[in-house]
Amino acid sequence: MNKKVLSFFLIGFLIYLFDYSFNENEDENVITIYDDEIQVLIKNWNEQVGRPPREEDIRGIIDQLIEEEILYREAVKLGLDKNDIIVKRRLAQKLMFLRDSLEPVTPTTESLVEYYEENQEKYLIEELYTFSQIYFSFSPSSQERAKTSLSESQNGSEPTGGEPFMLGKNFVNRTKKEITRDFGNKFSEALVKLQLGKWHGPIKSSYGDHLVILINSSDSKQLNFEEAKSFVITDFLAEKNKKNQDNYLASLKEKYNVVIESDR
Amino acid sequence: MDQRVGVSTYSRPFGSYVRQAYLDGLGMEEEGRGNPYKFGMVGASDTHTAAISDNEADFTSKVGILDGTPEGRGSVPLTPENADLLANVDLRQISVKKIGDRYYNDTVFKQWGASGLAVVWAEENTRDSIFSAFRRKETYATSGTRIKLRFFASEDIDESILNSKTMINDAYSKGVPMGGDIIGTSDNSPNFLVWAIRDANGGALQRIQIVKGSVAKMPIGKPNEQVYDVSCSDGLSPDPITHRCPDNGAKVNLSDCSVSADRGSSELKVVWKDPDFNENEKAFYYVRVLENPSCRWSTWDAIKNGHKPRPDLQATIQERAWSSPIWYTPKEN
Repeated sequence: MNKKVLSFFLIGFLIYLFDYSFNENEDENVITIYDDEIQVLIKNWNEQVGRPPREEDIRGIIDQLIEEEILYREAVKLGLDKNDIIVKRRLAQKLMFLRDSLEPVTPTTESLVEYYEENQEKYLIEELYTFSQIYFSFSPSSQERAKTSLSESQNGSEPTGGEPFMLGKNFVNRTKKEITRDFGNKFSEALVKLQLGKWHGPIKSSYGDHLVILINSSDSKQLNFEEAKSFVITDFLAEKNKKNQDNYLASLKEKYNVVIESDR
Repeated sequence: MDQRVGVSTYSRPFGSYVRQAYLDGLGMEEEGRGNPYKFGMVGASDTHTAAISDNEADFTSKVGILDGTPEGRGSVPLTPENADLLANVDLRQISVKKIGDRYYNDTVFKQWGASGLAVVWAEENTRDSIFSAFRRKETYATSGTRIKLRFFASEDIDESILNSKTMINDAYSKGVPMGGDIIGTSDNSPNFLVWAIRDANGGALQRIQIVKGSVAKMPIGKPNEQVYDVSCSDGLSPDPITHRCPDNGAKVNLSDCSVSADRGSSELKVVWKDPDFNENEKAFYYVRVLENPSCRWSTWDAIKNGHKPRPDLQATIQERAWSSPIWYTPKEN
């Protein structure tokens, strides 16, 4: 009888030893901080503050980390993570991020080409205009001054005169929309109709009169697959990820029954 | 303006204007505590709709459902059904005001303005270049208009720079741009170069102002502020005593929001010296560019929906831009 009792104690003691030696680090009152964790925090601090932390700053960083960990554990003990909308949202987000990284999408060329062909309108480049301008600010004489300057220029050379213009002299590969934004509607309407390679004007903008030479205009253009490839990959991945997420959510929803109650 | 926009409470400059923070910063620096308020200027939206609504003529919403309609924003009268409905709602955010024989939704929404914009002078459209510009505070804010604004301070420039086609290169090589510091080298005021052009699709410019704040040397340490009109539209000049531009006579027609087409300037530029300069006092200078008055969103809402503008709201505003300051530090410090 005594032997039986003793053997129970022995077995119990062994289990205790076993448990103690394997779970030592998980003791709920031990906080272990790893060096690489601190290194990451130091790097972040450096980026935010703009200088490396001094010794007391590092101590502060570690103190803060410890305090946060302690408060976190106490909060979990009290069950404060339950029924908290922010915690819920964060966990839900985390699950979706994790799912994305667990199932990375690696597109094949065929699937990309297929996507490109179905979405060609996304890879259309608008008409682009390259031009230079000379500015005569609004005044009763601005139009006259611009005309004189243009008529005095010889053999199509650049007219002299004019005033500094805040947005500069040369405009390279601008869309009509950008030109309208910077100069106003009247100016962009006139500009797109100009004959290439010749000084014209004066053309009115929201700022005054301009002499303008249209140096280049390129037609709107459909990018071919190779030119558009980097955009296609980005768009394809975004769409594929979205689809995967939707499917995943749909499969989860099947497991649940939703009940809406008026009272708790 | 002596009143806050959208309400009839008086404007209180103390503590609610950015210049107060700049002044407090200078004061702390004068006391040897360092200046914690040396920041640049940007405008933004604070909308809660994941969309920007920066155009008064096309203002949609700031918070979504509640102010998503002119009725909800309080800019047009409530329909009789909605007036009855809201009269019986007991919610802090909702109240109804009777003006004449009409009922208006009377909430905080009525004070808000369309979104502002942040502008950055960066060398090129890259992340590095844009962040560097933010770091050196070479930024300015607007109330939503696309005014373009340059601001420099230098000992070595004069008015001839205004007609130089290399104006901006010269200004950078001889001075500091907005957000920068200038250290005194003589007992003369630095030259401040301000250059502004209107939004190509917005209102004409009415005037350029420079807002100055300075702090007398310790042990006095008294803060001072002054607003100078430095360039006026329509060929007008600021009064040398009051430092104010004469009225340029620009008007807004409140029946259709049209504005005087022949008033205001498309471009204003000036080299200015501080007439009250004291070479021994720390100071900051920033630029404010004002447009001619234009309709506020509440007026646009009313007109588009066939109503008269609500009488207890401001019918017009003046769109504007604010530069980051340039800080002046005396030589001795």
